[in-house]
Amino acid sequence: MSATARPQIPVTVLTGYLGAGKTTLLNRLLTEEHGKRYAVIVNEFGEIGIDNELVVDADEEVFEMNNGCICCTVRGDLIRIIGNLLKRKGTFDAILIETTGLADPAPVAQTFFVDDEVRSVAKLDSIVTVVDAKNVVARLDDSHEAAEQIAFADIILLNKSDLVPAVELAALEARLRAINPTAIIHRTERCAIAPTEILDRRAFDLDRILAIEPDFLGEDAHEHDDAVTSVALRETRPIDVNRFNQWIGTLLREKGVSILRSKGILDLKGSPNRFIFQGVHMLMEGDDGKPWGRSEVRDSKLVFIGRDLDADELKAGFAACVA
Amino acid sequence: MSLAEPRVRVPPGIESKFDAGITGAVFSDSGLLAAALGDGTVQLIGPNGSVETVQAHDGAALCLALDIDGRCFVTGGDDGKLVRTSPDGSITELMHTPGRQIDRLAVTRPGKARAVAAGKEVRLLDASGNVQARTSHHPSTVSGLAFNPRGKRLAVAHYGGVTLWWTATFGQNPGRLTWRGSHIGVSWSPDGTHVMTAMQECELHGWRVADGSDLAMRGYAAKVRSMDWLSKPSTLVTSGADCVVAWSFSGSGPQGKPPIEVGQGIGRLVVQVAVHPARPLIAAGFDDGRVAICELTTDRESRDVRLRPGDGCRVSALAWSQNGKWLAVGTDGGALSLFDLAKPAS
Repeated sequence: MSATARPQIPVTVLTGYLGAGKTTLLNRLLTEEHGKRYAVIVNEFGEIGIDNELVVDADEEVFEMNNGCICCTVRGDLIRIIGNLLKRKGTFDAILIETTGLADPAPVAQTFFVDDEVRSVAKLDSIVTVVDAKNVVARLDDSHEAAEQIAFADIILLNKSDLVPAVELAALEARLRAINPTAIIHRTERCAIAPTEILDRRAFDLDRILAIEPDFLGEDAHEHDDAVTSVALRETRPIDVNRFNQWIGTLLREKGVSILRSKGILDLKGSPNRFIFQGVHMLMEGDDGKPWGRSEVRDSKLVFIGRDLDADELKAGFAACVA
Repeated sequence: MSLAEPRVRVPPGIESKFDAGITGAVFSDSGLLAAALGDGTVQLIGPNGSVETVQAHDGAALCLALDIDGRCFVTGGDDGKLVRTSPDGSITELMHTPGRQIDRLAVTRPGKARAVAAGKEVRLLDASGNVQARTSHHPSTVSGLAFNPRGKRLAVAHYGGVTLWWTATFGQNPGRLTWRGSHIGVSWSPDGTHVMTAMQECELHGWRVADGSDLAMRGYAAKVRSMDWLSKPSTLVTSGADCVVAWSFSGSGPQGKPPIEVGQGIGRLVVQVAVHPARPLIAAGFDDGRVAICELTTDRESRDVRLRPGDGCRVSALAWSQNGKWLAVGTDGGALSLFDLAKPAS
């Protein structure tokens, strides 16, 4: 077997405030019979009451890369731990990384963009944020990190949903959606969810971006005035790849500090395939996706999640990328 | 000048195949080879081809060194254990830190000590396995350990530089060599004058120990995961480029001078280097499994001998026997070759 031809292992990052239920979720993943082999990187080894050699203790060591990118912080401990995990016999179906309650998810995500060795073996699959339905409103009001963790999420577990009346849950979901319109929200009790709903989800993710309605963000989306918001853009005319690269490159370089995440699916002029990209702050990566169907309506969609986003400016910039 | 691709000349020897990757290899004084594997075993291979499998760890064996006595082997594993394996295959657990990956280990024979890292902590173990001293006075997880040649000082690499300890007063009065960034490995020159680190940003950093003055070497294509030294003239030999890159420390040192580059033309990334114990020869392992022995010379026409063809797996271990007659090669695909270089190649 060629070592370089190994498929990249999907990596799921688990964030959420202290007490939201991350440890409960990890315990479920480690104890349920699912026939899969998961490596789990935790921040407090003692909390997992399971003796499992695939559970590794990490120290959340964030450092800045000396590459001139001011928000480019990575997790040095992850680079080392993942390198070591790959030396084990056999491979993993997924790697799961738990972060501490107050952690900024960006350095974890950026590690998978920046480090060549890590990139060659593992790929960021999704960021899962566990939210305590009973306490999240208070957290959003009193902390910076709670909104950030929701903004970064691909999947949100609205946990302890049994403790909150249905009408409050609906209002809560609307508020989460205003911060992050693209995340899948699962209502859970004691984090009861099938592992397949949160691990190795990449393909599903992309379909979801396609399903975003740009006018989703109606007037009432801003009623809570959370600092983190999103802008969704759509273009029906094909996009010129060079113009787009130049625009997105400059945009992320200049505004990457306040743009937490960017994602998109593009119809590039002259390409039979979808072009799929995602970014974290100033870093982004793009890939060819599946081909457009013969009778399919082609269009391009972009989503930005961040602070102080200027929707008009983004819209104008993207419109200028039309071929 | 155009030359046909030189023929690979495979020397006689012993070929083994395991179902886990090789993570390290070292020979004992008597010529017994130990290979550490990703399935937690240590394979003891004699020059006559005898193989003994020792289950030293529950997970993967991550690092390997010849022990103080020159007979036994020490391994660290992702089961958090430090284990000594005797030539007869018996094992002794020297340390256990659950949840920690033990991936950094150094042994000094003159200083009769082993240093092992678990997170930020470094422990010094004496010959009988007792913890002589321990300290966590490091700013981040330890990413490299190297004793000085006499075994009286220990260099500990971490984020932001290197901490230097005297083993006699380990944990007290640290010396700090600082340089911003993530240092991922450390090596002490055989004359004791320099401490060199590999960095996350695909470059080397270093310090002259006497006055802490800095050195920097850039231009690598990948992280420098393998460093070794030729003693005379003092030369640092490194992986991380499409040839072996060597820096001469004789005279005024390597600053401002181009490196010596040997083993060009294979067109793959060098990922392992090992310097012959007596002669200026470098074994170079490539990221596709190829192995070459290169003459370390500043001549434009440096010669090399190609011993092993590419098989798509990365060379993950390289070791010379102490008499320089055997070369062990391991790959991350589980192939282990033990080449007998005293006999003519086929």
